[in-house]
Amino acid sequence: MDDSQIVELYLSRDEAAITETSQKYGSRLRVIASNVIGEIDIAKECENDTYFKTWNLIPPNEPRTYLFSFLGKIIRNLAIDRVRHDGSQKRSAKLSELTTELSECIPGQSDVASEVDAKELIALINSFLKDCSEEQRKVFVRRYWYFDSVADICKAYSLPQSKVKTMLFRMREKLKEQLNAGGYSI
Amino acid sequence: MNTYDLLDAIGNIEPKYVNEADINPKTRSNVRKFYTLYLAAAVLLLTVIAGTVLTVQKPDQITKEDDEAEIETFVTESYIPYMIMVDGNLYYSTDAPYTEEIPDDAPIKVLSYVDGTPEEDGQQNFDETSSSLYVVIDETHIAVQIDGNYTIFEKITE
Repeated sequence: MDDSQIVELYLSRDEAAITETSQKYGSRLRVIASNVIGEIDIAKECENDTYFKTWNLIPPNEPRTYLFSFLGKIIRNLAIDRVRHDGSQKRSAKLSELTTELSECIPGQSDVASEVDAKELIALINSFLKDCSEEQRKVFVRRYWYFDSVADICKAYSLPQSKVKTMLFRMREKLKEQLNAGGYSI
Repeated sequence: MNTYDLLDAIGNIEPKYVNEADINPKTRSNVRKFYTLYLAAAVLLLTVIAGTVLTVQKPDQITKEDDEAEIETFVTESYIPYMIMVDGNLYYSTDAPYTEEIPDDAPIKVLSYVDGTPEEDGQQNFDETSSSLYVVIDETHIAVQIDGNYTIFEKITE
């Protein structure tokens, strides 16, 4: 069943929508959650919570052409919130690793306190990605959206590990420059 | 702004970028057939090894400190590539071996170690003893001795 048909099930409040979503995307959603949490049981809980949230978000949303990214965003947020608020961050080595990497992108303190405008920050990230090459963009998104390990990225795109590490390193430096130019700081 | 603000913003990137990076499930299923056989063989081998190890090591020898050390190693080793600064330029490891003959008097010794990105000439982030040697190959490559073998490093350019 294609995404548009699945969304139609949600819109008509047919509970088969959940079954179809689970069959088509369940395993991939669990991978995203597992990459953050590291525990399959909690990842499954996040998966179930994702279906519940999706049921309440469609309608008014109609992600006919981007259902997977819509679902992925939900489970990604649920998994991160679970790790942060359950106090289980010490056990999530992956999330600690990723937040340490991303901390390199944040410019140092400035004299002027800068509040985060979420929409502007998202626009800046999208602009940053638009300026990157397709290869760079894929590697960045696999690492910081899908939470893949460097080894998984190497395997997926047949790239040597040093190239992936260097690519991510240089992209973090470039993102830091753009955040600095955009007035963002700690 | 903190790292979670950044992580949240990345979570809201345009769907087209998420879809672009999506790995084709059909492609993976073709590879999966090979990996199934490979995985079965790997599981059998690991079972044999695990059985051997468990008869040697008692369970109470695996301490909490061992788990924490493993996590710390996982966090600190995985995201910074090997780099060295030479003549104001940063070079990163390509992992490719350099097999050409090197004159005895050509190698230069690294000067210092840093835990992070090198910022001074002769500084590197892979050898805490600072005893490694390097030799310039051409304008964009040097060969660095790591664990006795020379590896090609490439200049980082904008």
